[in-house]
Amino acid sequence: MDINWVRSFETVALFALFIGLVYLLYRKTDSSTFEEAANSPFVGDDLSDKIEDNQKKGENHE
Amino acid sequence: MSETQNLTYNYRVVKQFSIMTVVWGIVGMTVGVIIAAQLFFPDMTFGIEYLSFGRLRPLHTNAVIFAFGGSALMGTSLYVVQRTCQAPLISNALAAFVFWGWQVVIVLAAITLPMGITSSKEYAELEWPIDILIAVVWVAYAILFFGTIAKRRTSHIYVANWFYGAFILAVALLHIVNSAAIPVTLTKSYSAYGGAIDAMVQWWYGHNAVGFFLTAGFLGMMYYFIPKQAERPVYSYRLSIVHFWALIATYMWAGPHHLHYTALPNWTQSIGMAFSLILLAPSWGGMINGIMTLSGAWHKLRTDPILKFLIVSLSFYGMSTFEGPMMAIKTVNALSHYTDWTIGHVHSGALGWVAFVTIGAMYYLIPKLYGRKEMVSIDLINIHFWVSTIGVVLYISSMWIAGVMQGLMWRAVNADGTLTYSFVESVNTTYPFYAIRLVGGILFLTGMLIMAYNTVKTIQAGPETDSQI
Repeated sequence: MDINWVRSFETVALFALFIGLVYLLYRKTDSSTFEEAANSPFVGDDLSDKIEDNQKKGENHE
Repeated sequence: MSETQNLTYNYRVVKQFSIMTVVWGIVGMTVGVIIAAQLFFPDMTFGIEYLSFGRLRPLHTNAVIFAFGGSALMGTSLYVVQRTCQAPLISNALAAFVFWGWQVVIVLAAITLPMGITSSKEYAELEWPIDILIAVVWVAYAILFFGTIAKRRTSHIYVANWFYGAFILAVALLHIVNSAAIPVTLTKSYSAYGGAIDAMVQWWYGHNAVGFFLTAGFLGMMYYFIPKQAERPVYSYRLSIVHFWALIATYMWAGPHHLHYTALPNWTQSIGMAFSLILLAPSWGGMINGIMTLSGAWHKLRTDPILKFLIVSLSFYGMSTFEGPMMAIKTVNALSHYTDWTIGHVHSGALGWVAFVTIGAMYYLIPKLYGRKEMVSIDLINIHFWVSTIGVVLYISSMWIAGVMQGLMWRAVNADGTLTYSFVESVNTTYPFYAIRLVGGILFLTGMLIMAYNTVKTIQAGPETDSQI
């Protein structure tokens, strides 16, 4: 088995891996996992969120 | 949500890094303005060796990349990893070590580089004792970051952390391999590699410093702060995963384009060119994903200068990741290499992309860290945006014109095969463009000074609510 066979195999294998990744991501399944992940920056409460909440409460008086 | 009380988050280290981002930004860009001025007024520093162009130039690149960019990446990554993993840093002592260790590295760079102590490897000029310190601090940073991910209270690892993680791992690998050297004295060492292999290792490092330090790390920043500032999740989470794997798999091979038409084997140069061209796809995929996050909320761009910074940073990212692959084509490179076009390209990425996304992220982050909803002056952010945008445009357009002109003049030959122009004629033709570039640099630095003023005022103003925290 010469080195060029290994190189060719590696190239094809990596390409197949990439196509596999795209297939896994875009197949028609429940997308809630992705939505949940995409929303993770907005989860959690801390100082900044509390300030925003307070501001919103203030606005509600109007 | 009360059981996930976040009061133990370590914001101290984030504050420290954020403040130093502004400070080192001003220092690094001031040195940049000085060396830009030296190209226009060559006798400006009276021949003082410590202030010569050759010594200040690496000081400028180290200060803006590793001090300004490094502080921004470390600060934001340690903020984002805590927020998106809903877990505090694993060790406050380790966080303090990472901050102070990194500052010591920067100070040592600021002392040794003007003294002429250098390994002469571009973007890796620091000598071996400092390299060892960098490696130790970096490993501590990696333990802090990945340790926090391991202790996360969320099931998913948010995409920003993947990019930050790739940045941390790749930079560790690059730094340790490229800095391998045989010490002769405390301040002098020789590379462990020789000849063309040394050059290839250096540009494998050099281009991946661009790919993982200046791209992957700042994409992590982009994937957190653009959704936060736009108040909507990223356009496509699926695309962000494709973006991640495609980008990190491709970048590693692009380095040889720095060595076109050199002693490097021809096939290696061609691989570098091919992978640089492929890079256009993941780069633009990521850019589109970031910009489209604003889809349906474009009106926010009119009123929110922080979003202007963030979205324009992606526009510059798109421009420079189009320009880069084009310049990596061997025939184009034959014209552009060794000219000021390269300098223009780098600053399109460094000022337009890296600095803009950092500035945007800092304007979001700094008031939050100090208990305020926003910076005290939104008008000053807007002024900062326009001053620095004009600065970048002047900088890169003058360098484009200068670079293409130099390339054309250097290759021009007469009918008898002699060169049409002497080198000094090309320098003379470039001269006015160095003035325009200097003005661009001064404008950009002015923007940073406006930011520093706004930051000081925001911190002085203190928290704006009397909440229980």
